[in-house]
Amino acid sequence: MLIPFITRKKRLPDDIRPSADKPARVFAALPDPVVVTRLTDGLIVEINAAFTEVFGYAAVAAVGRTLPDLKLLQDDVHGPTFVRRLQAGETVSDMGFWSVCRDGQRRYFFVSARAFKLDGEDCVIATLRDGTDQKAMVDVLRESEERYRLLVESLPDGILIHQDGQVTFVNPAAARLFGAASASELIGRHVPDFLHPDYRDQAMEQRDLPPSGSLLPVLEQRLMRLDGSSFYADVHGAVYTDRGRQLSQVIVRDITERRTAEEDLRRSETTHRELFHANPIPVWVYERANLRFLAVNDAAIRQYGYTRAEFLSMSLGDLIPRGAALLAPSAKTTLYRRKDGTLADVEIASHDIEFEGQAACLVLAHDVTAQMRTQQALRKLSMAVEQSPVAILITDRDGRVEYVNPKFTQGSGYTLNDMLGRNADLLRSGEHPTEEAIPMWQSLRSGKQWSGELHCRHKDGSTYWEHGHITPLLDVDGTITHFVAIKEDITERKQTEEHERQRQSQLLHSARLITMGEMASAIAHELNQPLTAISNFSSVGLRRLEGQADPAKLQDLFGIIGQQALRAGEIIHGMRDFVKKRDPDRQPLNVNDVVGELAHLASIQGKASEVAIELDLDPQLPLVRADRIQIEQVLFNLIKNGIEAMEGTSSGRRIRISTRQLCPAEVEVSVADHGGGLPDPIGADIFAPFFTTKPEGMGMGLSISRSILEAHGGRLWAVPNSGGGTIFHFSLPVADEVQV
Amino acid sequence: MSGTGITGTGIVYVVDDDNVVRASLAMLIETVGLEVRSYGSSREFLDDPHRHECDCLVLDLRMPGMSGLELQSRLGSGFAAPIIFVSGHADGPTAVQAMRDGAVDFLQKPFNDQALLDRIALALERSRQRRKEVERRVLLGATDPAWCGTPPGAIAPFGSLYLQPLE
Repeated sequence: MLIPFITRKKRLPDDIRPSADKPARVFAALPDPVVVTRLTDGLIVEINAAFTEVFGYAAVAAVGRTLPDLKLLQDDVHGPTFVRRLQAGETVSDMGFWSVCRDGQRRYFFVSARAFKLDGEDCVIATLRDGTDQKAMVDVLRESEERYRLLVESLPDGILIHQDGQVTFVNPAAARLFGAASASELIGRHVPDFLHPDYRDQAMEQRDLPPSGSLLPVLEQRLMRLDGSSFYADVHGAVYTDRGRQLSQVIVRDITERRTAEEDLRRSETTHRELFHANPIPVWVYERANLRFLAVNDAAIRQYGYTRAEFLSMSLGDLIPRGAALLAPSAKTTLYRRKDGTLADVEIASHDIEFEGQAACLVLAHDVTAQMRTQQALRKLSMAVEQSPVAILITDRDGRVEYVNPKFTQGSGYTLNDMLGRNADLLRSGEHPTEEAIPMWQSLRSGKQWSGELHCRHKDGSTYWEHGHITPLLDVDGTITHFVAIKEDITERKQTEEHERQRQSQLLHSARLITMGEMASAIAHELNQPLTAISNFSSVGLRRLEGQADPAKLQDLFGIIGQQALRAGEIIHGMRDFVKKRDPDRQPLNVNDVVGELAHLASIQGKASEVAIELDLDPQLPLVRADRIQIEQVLFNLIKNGIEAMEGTSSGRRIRISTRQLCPAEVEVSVADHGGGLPDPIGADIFAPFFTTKPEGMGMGLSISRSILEAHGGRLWAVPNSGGGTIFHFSLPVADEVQV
Repeated sequence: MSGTGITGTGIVYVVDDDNVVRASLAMLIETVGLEVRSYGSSREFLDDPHRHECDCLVLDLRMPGMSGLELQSRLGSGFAAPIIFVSGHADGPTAVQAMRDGAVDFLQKPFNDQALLDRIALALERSRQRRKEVERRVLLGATDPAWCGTPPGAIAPFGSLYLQPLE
């Protein structure tokens, strides 16, 4: 620029000739403000027109004052420097100062000045170029640069600039990311050093740099720290040119956390998917708008028989059996049809969700078919128990009541609330010994059932008899958990039984009276024997007294008389026992004793009929439990029958009574006669009531005998005697040792 | 009840299965000085070879084994001694049958001691009469095998134990 100007100046020397006033006019016309001050005190010496225009001060107002007086070029910082440099003879160029114009406007000026000698005095000439706009621009630029610097410095993302792979800049975040104490540690290093070997090759492939200004795609990279550890980062690359150099700027964002989160999410998704499919309960998602299935789990596929593809082409309606209405969403259970047409009772739990952006419903369809069946069965059973015509009571293992049915309440007066938690034993009347309960509990605790009669007390205080059947309930281990008692009021039955027993007792008594009546003559004879003896001995005694007999001999005589009187008494006593009206009383007894004593009574009849009674008793006989008088009655009936059967026969007039143990559990008594034997054509009917072959007979003997034995758990039967006549056998059960 | 009216002698046989009754009978009869031979059963009596020495037979009607009535029929007409039946039973028909078969009397137990002794006295008298008649017939040359059965020297069976301490 300078050289052409000089060239032109030289070409036009005539047009431009210096003159004396020319410099002054030029000074005045300069477009930029110019001021001349004295170097020593800064007083303004001269200003030009532009100065006045720009600052508003006329020469009159400005000359003789300093610039700072006029609030021009005020700068406490730069001012002294500026002055010092001028004093040192330097030329100052484009030094910026703020100034306030006369109208108050602040303006920025670039000042160029140098000292010179004016009229022998050191002065300064300064030109001021208005740089207000430029200054504003520079300030903005600086601010922006500062902002960017701050941004770069404080950015959490690492920024790294490299040229041809050599690091020229890193921000603090990058230094942190790469594990450097400061940015300077990284400057000059090679970028490939920061790449994880797994990614290095991939990165190297992209070594041909794209044109300047283009952005490289975001890459997920694994990078190495200085200490050799690695981290994942998203890497943004950009290429740009700065002062002719092609630079790469790389932004590194640590995504370890994000990756972890993503990994977690992925894992969690997998887990949830697995949970969804592994759920043993069918689960599906359907779209709320059209009920189409959006997802089904494996259990649904298994249980309903459709493939996943089939399912996903179906809607919820396809599961509803024909004819069934679509249930309200609030319904808890419903009926679904499987592919094979079978129906399933299903318990529904549904939940509105958003599934892949659609309003959907998540459904858990728990198949409760088996459960429902069980429930129905249980309900049926429970109804049966509830409405049972027999009283039912359930207790826990300690006998505490957990349940009673209405029939129980009806019978006992106690409601379930009355009984709940209380011991079932409170029902017992207590009038029967508690020891009775011990075998019951023993039996039950050992897991066995128990049946028996219990004497109970009604809530109103009255007592009643019931038959109880108690069963222990066992769990799978065989431990007792409950007892179930089924009870039946048997008071009426007991009364009937008692009535029947009394009637039977009466009948037996009558039968014995009849027997005695029939025996009257035999008894009379038996009584007459001792009476005869007494009478005779008395006579003898009297006769001896007349003849002054020896008193010692009389003593014997009276002794005999006394004995005979007792003998007569015993006969009467035995008979009285036999005919006495009494209640049956079963005691353990030896059948031999019964036979022995009865033989005495029988021999009276036997003697009268001239029949001998023979005994053949097994001495090793076990005890039986029986009513003595009733067994005597049976024996007597059989002996009397035998005697009567032998009426009219002349030889073998004897009856043999034998006892033996028939088997470990039974004792047998046999009465054998040698009479006419059983009447063949009606043999089977001899035990029927009123059956008789005798004109005077009642036909009750064998019938009564049989019922007595059967009441004792025994039997009565007859067989022909091989030597002629009949043998009657009867058996009695051996007494239970525990009961004896 | 005093012992009167018994005169003369004779051997009275007693058959009764009841030991005490038998003993009392024997003792009662002995009080009037008569000899008594006792038997516990009909069989025992039949087995006694001296049974024909009997002047009067006091026989229990009902006994086990062979009854009194049966014994009477066994002895038959060859047995000459009068039979007095005793019984604890009021056996009307049996008594009638016994009397028809030749019994001299029937007494129901218990009986008045004098009644029995009187009957025995009567029977002995009858027996004596009969013996005289037989002796007369024997002298006339008539024989009756019923009186010839007892071999000489035969021993009559001993009676009841009850007799011993009283003798």
